[in-house]
Amino acid sequence: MKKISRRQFTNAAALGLGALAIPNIAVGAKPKVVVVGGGAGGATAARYVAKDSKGAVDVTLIEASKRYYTCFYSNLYLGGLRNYGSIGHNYYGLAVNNGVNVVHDWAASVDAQNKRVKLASGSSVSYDRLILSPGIDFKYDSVPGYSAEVQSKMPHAWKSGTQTQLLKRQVLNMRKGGNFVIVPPTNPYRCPPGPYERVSMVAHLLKANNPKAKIIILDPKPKFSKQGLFMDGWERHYPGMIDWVDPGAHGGIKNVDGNKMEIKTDLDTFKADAASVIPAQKAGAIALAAGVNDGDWCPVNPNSMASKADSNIYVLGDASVAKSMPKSGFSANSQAKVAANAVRGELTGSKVFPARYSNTCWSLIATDDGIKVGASYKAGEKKIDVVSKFISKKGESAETRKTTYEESIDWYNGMTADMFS
Amino acid sequence: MCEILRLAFAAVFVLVVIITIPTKSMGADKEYGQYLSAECNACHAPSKKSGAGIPSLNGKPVPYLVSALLQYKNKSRKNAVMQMIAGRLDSEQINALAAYFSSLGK
Ligand SMILES: Cc1cc2nc3c(=O)[nH]c(=O)nc-3n(C[C@H](O)[C@H](O)[C@H](O)COP(=O)(O)OP(=O)(O)OC[C@H]3O[C@@H](n4cnc5c(N)ncnc54)[C@H](O)[C@@H]3O)c2cc1C
Ligand code: HEC
Repeated sequence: MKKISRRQFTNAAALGLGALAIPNIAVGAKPKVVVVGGGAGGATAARYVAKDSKGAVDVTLIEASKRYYTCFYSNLYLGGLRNYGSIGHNYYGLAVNNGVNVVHDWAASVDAQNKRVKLASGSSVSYDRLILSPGIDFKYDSVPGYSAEVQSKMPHAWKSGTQTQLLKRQVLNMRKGGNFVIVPPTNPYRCPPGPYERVSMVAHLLKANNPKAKIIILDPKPKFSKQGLFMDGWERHYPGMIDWVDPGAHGGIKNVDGNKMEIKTDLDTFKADAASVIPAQKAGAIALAAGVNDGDWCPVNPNSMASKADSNIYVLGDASVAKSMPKSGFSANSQAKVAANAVRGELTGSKVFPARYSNTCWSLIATDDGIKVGASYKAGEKKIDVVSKFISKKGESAETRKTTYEESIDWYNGMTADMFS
Repeated sequence: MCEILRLAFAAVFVLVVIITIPTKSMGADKEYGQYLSAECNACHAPSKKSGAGIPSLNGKPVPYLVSALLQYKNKSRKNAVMQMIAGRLDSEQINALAAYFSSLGK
């Protein structure tokens, strides 16, 4: 006699009872969670669902890369304060310590009707709940002349990986006294203080290697995150080196030319010896393929991070509309825990507690001069609302700034352990 | 007379607090403590990974954790991040968190 496996049996039972819509708990099948994207949101979500359900939920993580290089601290690598290897992480802990089924493949599409994710390799995986945390894709044509081709001449370095290493090489190869030009993205984008921390870290590198060099920021925005703190820091550490040009002054980016290394605005054509052009952004392709987007981003319920378009799909991190939270690794990690709690509750009947979120973004202006901004949040009626917030102050003691930087180092270790250990 | 009554009342009150807090935070609140602790894990790594800036909380005694959190909450201990975090914790949450972290191995 052929033995019927437990899975076959429960599938048959589920078919028979399907009409009664009995949840998985009742029939005894192991519910399945599929997570797409093993970054700040996805790795955390996979780890928390697997760890806290103690084997009661099957968790599969689909992640294209075997190693995750964090964008957080990639600016410190540019500045020479971290080596590249130190910001790379693997998926060993998720698989071995937490029992997550880690699949290195590209999620190509989602069949939401039949609850299946199709993979580029041709295989597919079924889910009871799907968690999408694919990060961002670029809207290349938001900057005239910019493209996937030009990105090797004027790296965005806004997804970590070879782009960041390329950018560093180009900055180090600049002519003595040359220009580094950066074009920050329009709102909303991943990591609001990121471009300005990048300016600080490039300045730090140039101050040591090429002190007569200049940095020009051609900003499409009239103001930016932690502006007063950054400008005060630039004045103190890099006097005369950095020019921030707001859109009122330059009148808009008209064209970028990767071969001539020129950036044309209404005001002038800027010649660059090295440049970083960061285009506007949108949710990663799989979120759009799953149809849970409204325009460029994916609306979610503030109390769970479940998609407003499909209650079996959760969207975390940069891809989601999580107003009032900024798009940051910290936010994605925080949202993942709320989603993991809600998903476990739906699939195993475990207790679901009210959503609480928080975020802190540290930035480094120069060696031992760290600043921070943060807030705690709760689920409001329509969006995620701020509970309380704080920001570093101008004129703080050098000791406070040093402590702030030291906190960020420990946060980096805590955060990456929370994602991958 | 009045003084004695007040003392007796205070003694009973302290007793009630001592009896109710631990039983509450040991049992049902373990799950709650674990959920709340997820927020802390973003910064507080297990002891092996933590350095000078953010201490590990694992295995620290309950009264130590409770009093630190109360000090951040009433702002007598300075740190912008922790004042924000502790600022919205009520006493049930503080007890649940302290019980949870102190139950973890160092
Ligand atoms: C320069 C810079 C500095 C930053 N500094 C900080 C900081 O100090 N603090 C902070 O909190 N945040 C910081 N951030 C922001 C932070 O990196 C992002 O907000 C965070 O990574 C978002 O997490 P996520 O899960 O949404 O996406 P990601 O972390 O980008 O993860 C997405 C993952 O999904 C994978 N993926 C995407 N699509 C598919 C698919 N179809 N199939 C398989 N795999 C797929 C990708 O390979 C990737 O690994 C910084 C960003 C930059 C660029
Ligand atoms: C954004 C980062 C961050 C988060 C999130 C965070 N902490 Fe902290 N915590 C810190 C920092 C930084 C310190 C050190 C502050 C100081 O110097 O007093 C600290 C210190 C503490 C201390 C004092 C420890 C000691 O030995 O002196 C306790 C207790 C504590 N945190 C508890 C918590 C709890 C509980 C949570 C979750 C509800 C939490 N923290 C979340 C950053 C954080």
